[in-house]
Amino acid sequence: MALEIHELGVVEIASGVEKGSFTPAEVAEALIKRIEALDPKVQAFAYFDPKDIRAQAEVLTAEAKAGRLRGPLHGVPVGIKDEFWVKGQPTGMRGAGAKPEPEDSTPVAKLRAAGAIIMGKTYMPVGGKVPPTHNPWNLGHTAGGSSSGSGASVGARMVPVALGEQTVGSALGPAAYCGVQAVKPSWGVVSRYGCYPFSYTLDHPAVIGRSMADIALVLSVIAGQDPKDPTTIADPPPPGQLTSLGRAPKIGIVRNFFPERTEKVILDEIERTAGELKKAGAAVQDFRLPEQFPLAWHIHKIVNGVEAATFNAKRLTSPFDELAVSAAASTAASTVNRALAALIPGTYYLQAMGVRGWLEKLTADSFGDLDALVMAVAPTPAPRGLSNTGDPSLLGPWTLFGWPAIALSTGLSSDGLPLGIQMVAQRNRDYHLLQVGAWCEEVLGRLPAPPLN
Amino acid sequence: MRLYPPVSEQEALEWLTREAVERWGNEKESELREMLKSIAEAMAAVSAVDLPEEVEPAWP
Repeated sequence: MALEIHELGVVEIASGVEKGSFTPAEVAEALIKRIEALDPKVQAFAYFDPKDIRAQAEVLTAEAKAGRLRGPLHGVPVGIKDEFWVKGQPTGMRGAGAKPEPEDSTPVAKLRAAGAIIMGKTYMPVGGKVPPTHNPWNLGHTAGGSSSGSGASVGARMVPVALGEQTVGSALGPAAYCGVQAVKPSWGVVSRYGCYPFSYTLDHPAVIGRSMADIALVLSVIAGQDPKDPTTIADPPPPGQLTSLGRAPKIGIVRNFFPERTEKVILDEIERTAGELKKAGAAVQDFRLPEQFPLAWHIHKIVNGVEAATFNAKRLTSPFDELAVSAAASTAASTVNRALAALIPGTYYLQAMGVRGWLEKLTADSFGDLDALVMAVAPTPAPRGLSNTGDPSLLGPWTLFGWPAIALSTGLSSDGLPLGIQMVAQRNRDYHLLQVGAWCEEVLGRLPAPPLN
Repeated sequence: MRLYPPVSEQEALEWLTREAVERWGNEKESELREMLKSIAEAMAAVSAVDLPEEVEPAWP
């Protein structure tokens, strides 16, 4: 039986449009119906305008019929975290009364140029309020944060892929909680232009999708040097087609990645996964991070705190403005009150930045010839309720280093919540990490759609 | 606040609390102190790292 359009991934939709199996208008219509049916329950979309989506899809359909495909994502629907500028749509992060943006952020502009259909803005915490987004696997649980709607919309098959952003663990966390995959690329791979800032040296645009192949294709489109963001690197974007690794990978299971703060169900899943990978031929070995590694959380607090305090100096004048945020992130080891962080002296910020590079080098020196490290994404499955979007502390160190990290969903807990692993490679080994992820995905399989219907 | 010799968490907390009270008043001093603990802990941790002199701040 042929799959329904909402069940197709990025690569399959792009290929179907190219072959003329369906049109961008048919794809858009199928997903509009899906969103209209499910979003009242899931609440993934903060801004959704079917008229605008149909208008985009009509143009793309006419182009496809004339044999003019804009690029590798022609007719592929994409959700956008409400932190990125989308021309003509308000950006939720600007707060209440935000006006429609006059231009697209660079990642969104690149998506449009490649033929993507922009499906709207996905929920994230704004102004200290947690989003109303529910986990598609269990509506009584959080979808994670802060890319809450992006994770839930991909998990619920409302879109095949969505943009997220990660400053601590905001993209990989929601992906793991919602049973899908994600990449947080290396620092500088994707432009931050038009991405509302949290932290100048920690914000990473990210991709949440359902397979490594889908994510690689989208990353190849949005990556690349951007004159509007001087921190982007000059390396050419990674290829869009994910070729085989060509061999079994060499993987290190991180043994001192804070098992004392991680639930047994997560630790057991890592052991089970490591066993599966080994059985399939991967060289699996134990790995220990340098003993100084826990400094990463302290550095992250200082760097994130000072940078956020600087950006928000006009808005957050009292530490008591932030109580809601602090409560929501009560378990987040990397989160500090941004108004109070303004008290941190400049010498401490620069010392933290020095320790940041020093610790990254220590960790890189211990990496050896491993293809990737494997560890937990989060200490628990998705927490119950919506008030706590989960603990991102196991993801923050890799965001601090600017190293690429992926989330792979591997199974379900006994109560039906997604479980997964985090894999990390050294800086600028993004494509290689996606290849390793694809090898593991092939062995471990991917989760089916959640039983939302 | 000095960076060297390394500060203890308690010293950092005392200093931060004084600064916070000066800025936001002493009505909620205990609440401020509670919120400042994690910053004090982070400041003490990074000041305790004896970095080689050639290490400069790293910009990613």
